[in-house]
Amino acid sequence: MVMKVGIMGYFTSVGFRFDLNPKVKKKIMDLIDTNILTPFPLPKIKATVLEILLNTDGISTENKVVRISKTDKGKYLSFMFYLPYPKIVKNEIVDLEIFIQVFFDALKEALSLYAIPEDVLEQTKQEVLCEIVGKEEYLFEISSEQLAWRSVAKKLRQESQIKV
Amino acid sequence: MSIHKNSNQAIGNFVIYEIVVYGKTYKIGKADLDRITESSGNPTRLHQQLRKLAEEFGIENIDKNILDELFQVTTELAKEIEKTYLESFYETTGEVPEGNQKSFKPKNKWL
Repeated sequence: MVMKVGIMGYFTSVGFRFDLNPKVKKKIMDLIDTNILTPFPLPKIKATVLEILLNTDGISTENKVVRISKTDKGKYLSFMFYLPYPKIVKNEIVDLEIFIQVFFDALKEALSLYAIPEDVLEQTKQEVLCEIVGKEEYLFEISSEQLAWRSVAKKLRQESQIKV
Repeated sequence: MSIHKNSNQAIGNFVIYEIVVYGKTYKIGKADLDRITESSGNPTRLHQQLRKLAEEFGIENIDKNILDELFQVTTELAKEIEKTYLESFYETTGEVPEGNQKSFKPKNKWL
């Protein structure tokens, strides 16, 4: 069974997240599957899902890639990508071009043991950039309801810190 | 004698988390300070829950955020704060998150 990639937001620092349209993640996933995982299956890996968890500490300006899976035998080969929030987010908006650049730097590091040709990774990154950057359909949208909730949640956090 | 971990008086470090599906809050809950894996190396219960949702809704449509961090509080206080978040969500949106509907009934909900 061919391995496929899955990308999920798994944020662990209060108030820090990357607001991404799911279409962005889906497009990146599709191109990684087509260009990388299908033609270059990872050797000796039984996992069928390359699970990438997006995270940030909110402060660091460098990538950090952490392998989560303890063995090569489970269904998931999981990595946590800590990406640099100060570089990616400006005025609370994700700069998609920078996000894609640093994401692929992290991907290169995660796959460094598996002999994926560098030009394949670079080409895939360029294809992603071309497909996504500057295209309105990939911009993040939020409902007024969720926006209101975020504001309320922020106030609650301030109140709970006083209580605690 | 140490207090049982499940006791309301047990002290722990908690987070209030939010699972978002298709851009909408699906569940609000509390968990032990965000471990990525259990000490056994297995994924946490929360991570397993996220994987199950990913299979149902598509992984790209799932996000987990942290709404609050509570350090050195009793389980009882963490539960109270979790409930405050759920009540406030209901007051703001008029809805209980889908993932909380089995266990949370808001105050003053008119049937």
